[in-house]
Amino acid sequence: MKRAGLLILLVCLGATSVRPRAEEPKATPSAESQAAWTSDLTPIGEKDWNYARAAHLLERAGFGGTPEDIDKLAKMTPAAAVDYLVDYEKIDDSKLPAFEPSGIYPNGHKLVPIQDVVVKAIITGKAYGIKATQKGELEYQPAVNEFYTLLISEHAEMGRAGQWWAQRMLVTPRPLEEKLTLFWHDHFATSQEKVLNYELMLAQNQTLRKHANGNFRALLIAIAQDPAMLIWLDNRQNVKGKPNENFAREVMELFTMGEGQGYTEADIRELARAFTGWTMNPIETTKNEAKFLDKPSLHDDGEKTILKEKGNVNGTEAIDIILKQSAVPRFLTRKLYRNFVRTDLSPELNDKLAKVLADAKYDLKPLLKTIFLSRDFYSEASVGTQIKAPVPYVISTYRKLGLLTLPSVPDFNELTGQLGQVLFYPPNVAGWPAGRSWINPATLLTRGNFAHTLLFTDPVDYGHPEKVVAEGYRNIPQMFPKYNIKPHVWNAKEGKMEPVSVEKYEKFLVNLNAAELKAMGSKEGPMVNEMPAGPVKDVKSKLGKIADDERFNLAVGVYSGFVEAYNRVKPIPRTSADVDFAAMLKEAKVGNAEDAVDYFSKRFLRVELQAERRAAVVKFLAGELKSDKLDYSDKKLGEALRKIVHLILSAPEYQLG
Amino acid sequence: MWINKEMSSSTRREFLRAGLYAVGLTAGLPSVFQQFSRAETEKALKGDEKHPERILVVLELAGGNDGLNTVVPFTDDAYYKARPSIGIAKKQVLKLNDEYGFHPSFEGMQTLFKDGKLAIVHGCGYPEPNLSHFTAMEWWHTATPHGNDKYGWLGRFADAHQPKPVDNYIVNIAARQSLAIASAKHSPVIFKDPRKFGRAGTEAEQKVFETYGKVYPTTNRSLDFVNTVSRTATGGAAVVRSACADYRTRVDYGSDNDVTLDLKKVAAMINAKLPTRLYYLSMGGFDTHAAQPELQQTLLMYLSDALRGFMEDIGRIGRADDVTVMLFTEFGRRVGENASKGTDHGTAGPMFILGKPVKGGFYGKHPSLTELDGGNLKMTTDFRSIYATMLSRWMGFADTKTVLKGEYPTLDIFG
Repeated sequence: MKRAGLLILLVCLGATSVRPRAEEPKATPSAESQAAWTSDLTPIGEKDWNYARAAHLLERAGFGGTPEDIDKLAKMTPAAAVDYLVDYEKIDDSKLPAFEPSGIYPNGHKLVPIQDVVVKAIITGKAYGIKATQKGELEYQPAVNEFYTLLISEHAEMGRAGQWWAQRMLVTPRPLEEKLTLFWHDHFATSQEKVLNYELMLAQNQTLRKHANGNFRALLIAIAQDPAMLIWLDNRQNVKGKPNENFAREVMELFTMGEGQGYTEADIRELARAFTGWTMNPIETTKNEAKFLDKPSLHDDGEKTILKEKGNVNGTEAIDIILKQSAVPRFLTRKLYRNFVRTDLSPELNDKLAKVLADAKYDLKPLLKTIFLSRDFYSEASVGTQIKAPVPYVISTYRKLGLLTLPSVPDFNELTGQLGQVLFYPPNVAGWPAGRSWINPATLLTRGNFAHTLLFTDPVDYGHPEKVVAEGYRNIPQMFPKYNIKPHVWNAKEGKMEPVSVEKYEKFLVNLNAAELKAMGSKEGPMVNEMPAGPVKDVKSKLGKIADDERFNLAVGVYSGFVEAYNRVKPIPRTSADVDFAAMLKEAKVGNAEDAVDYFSKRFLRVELQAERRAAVVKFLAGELKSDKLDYSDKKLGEALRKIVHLILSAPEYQLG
Repeated sequence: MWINKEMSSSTRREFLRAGLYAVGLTAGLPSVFQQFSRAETEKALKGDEKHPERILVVLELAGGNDGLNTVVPFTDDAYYKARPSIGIAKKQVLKLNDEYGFHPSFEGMQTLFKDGKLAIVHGCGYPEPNLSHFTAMEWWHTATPHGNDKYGWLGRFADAHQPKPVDNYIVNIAARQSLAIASAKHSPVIFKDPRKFGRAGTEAEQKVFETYGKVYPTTNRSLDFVNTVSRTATGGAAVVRSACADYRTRVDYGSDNDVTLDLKKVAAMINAKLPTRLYYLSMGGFDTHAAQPELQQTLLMYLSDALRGFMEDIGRIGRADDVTVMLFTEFGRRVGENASKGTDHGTAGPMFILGKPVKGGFYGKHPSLTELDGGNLKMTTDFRSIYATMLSRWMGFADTKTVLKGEYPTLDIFG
């Protein structure tokens, strides 16, 4: 699906097929003047405003966009463009759909740890609102199966929520709102891996969004009282007499002051006391909605000394003591700057930005506007020097293609997972390691191959069904023949998991692997070749024996959990991107191979394609077309253009924004 | 250009087998292979090192392997008392000496022990242990418990030992890079499936990709960085793919599973004479909170069979003297079993070092099963002593104090 108005003629490209590269220098000041702008917070002047700078602004303060999107900003004054992005409340977003839950708790019970379940099953015969035991072999298996069903459902539903958020990033008319929400998700990094309740994760997401460009104090208090955070950093267990310091430590180290910035271990202990009693209600069943509770009976109301201030303070008062520290605005502005501008900032610039935030009493908008308007933001040191994080990388690719629906070929979460960033699953409380750590040989190749899968795979041939038992668990039915586990595959037509014979299942797995390889452009065959094995010595693993007296079996539970969970969780239908590249060129009146390459380079890249690489792509396109000229009646034109877009999106230059 | 698509796969195989550096005809090589020029590779292999041929393979057992049921103290009553239902009976253990025996799945490992190729270090850990998988693993990766180093211990070793980075010096067989090999200077090769490690596209597109494998001077440091990684990726991918695709072995590693396949890939790359000195692998699934007997039986069986096979295979290709494998896990498990026939997160556990150059036997002191710390074993050997041993006594690198950020006594594990 194409973004509306995609085919409007690009003003910047002109009405004739002029090479945009040739036009650019006029609009771009020399590198020397740009270098002088480094660390200069003076607002950029109207005469310095142009298409390239608007593109840079949208790339950083949003997820990039089509030439039309960029042009809209380029036609405003710089101040108006920045206001448009930062004061986003003024833009109506009521058309954005809310998340539609699948309903993963049909028995009214949510996930609790497996140990508790097995104990309950033994004692009461019931767990999760179902009969937990069965007669004969594997007595407690029903309870274990339901545990895994809920566990896998939680992750699968979280995956749908990730997909929902990504779709929102793609189409929202308030891109900075989502970019900031993602920033705060990284800052207050909370993971479903431990929370194991997608509703709480989504509620936190909404809280982050609500305060995204608001006031940091309000945001911090909201997060300190957020149920997902209360679980994530254990504050719900932080009670008088038995303080749990986990949350207090991270508040100072990761959320406000930064490690080694003027607090002591004693301050952490005292701060933990201030947060005692901030807890939540039990949420094992769907009857209770998760709520923050401030329980005076669990609160330590003795005197505390936090950062040299004495007093019988509660959580909110303790937060106010922290926010008085000069380390806080410095730490926050440094982090925001690194996320939105570049990794190196001088202590002087850091102090200047910190003053803006402190003067505004932690209101974020003045700081955001100062940054996005500054000459520094548009200096040579800032433009095209940021390594794109996986989620913005994928979303901005879709935005630049003009898509309105998030494709699920390739699967969004699987793809960003391979690239190192799954929404709602930051690796730990410190958030995602940013910058260069996104890029290694494996992720770099995956980034390029993503474009190949996107542009060349028909959903019919994708091979990867909407739901498939996760890698590593697929062979459970064959591994445990003793338990006669029925293998299942997803039937998209019927919308459910369907039992199949072992022979059929083996075939399905082989095809799945072959399809994955095909999507990568590789051939089938073993990873490492084996010749017929020699005499077997000391090898046991082919026997596959298991113990005889089990009362439950986890492998059975895992497989059954996948099957049942996939019947509960709504599928994400397989859709692919349908982009008409020839139409883009035709509208822009592009006539030859060289201009076609430059058109797409300009559309996708913020850093110019290196000359030898550009020449190689031009030569390639001319070779595919057997001509330097574009022939719009040539049926092969579309495929050739998809190939050059794949090439451009695989270039090292495309990793930067 | 004399290597092109016309080059038959057997020629390419010979080329790799002989070692790229041995061909001696570097002029006119496609850019992909230029980085393996004779001079560079020879320098990487010779330099002023005494043993430039030595390779260290590190295999992590993720999830916290239960050391007590791996190396069973079968004469200790406290063991059977703590583990009435999952304890391994004396008659079942594979005896190593009068006190300790292996889990019955560890048959291949028992053979290696009997052959004197396996060192077992008791009670490895660190002061004030953390029982979270993530934190504990991070500390083993960085070798800085209670700290948060940005780089891994192997990454820091690579930076100190080989400050001028050599392509493919570190290989990590994994879907994601391990923190253990995070390095300031080296760009590790990371892949899981060699068939998928490459750029999709037609032959003609591959020609364009060759320009992506070149490093051009720019004024953009981020771009310089991506270009460097692109060069490693382009070159590394081609070499890894051919090395694995062309490898043939008759050695039985047991059934096909993650660790088997990963060790075969390592054998293939060693056989293809890559300049790799560090291989990093991970095997998961050791978090046995419930139904431990079944799970551990399978896991240890896979592990033991695969390692025994790997050792035989390395001998077959004539590199037994050059390769050692070090195994670790982020923590052992609680001494007492839990109510679901499993064990919860614990602290210290044994480490294993295998290879022909290893002096087999037991090292260190087994922790007491009665004098516990909150139900957990008290560590007896700091794991950084083993790291220091591997770096100094095996890799021949003296300044372990800087790399490991502290001085740790080494063990006399190598002959």
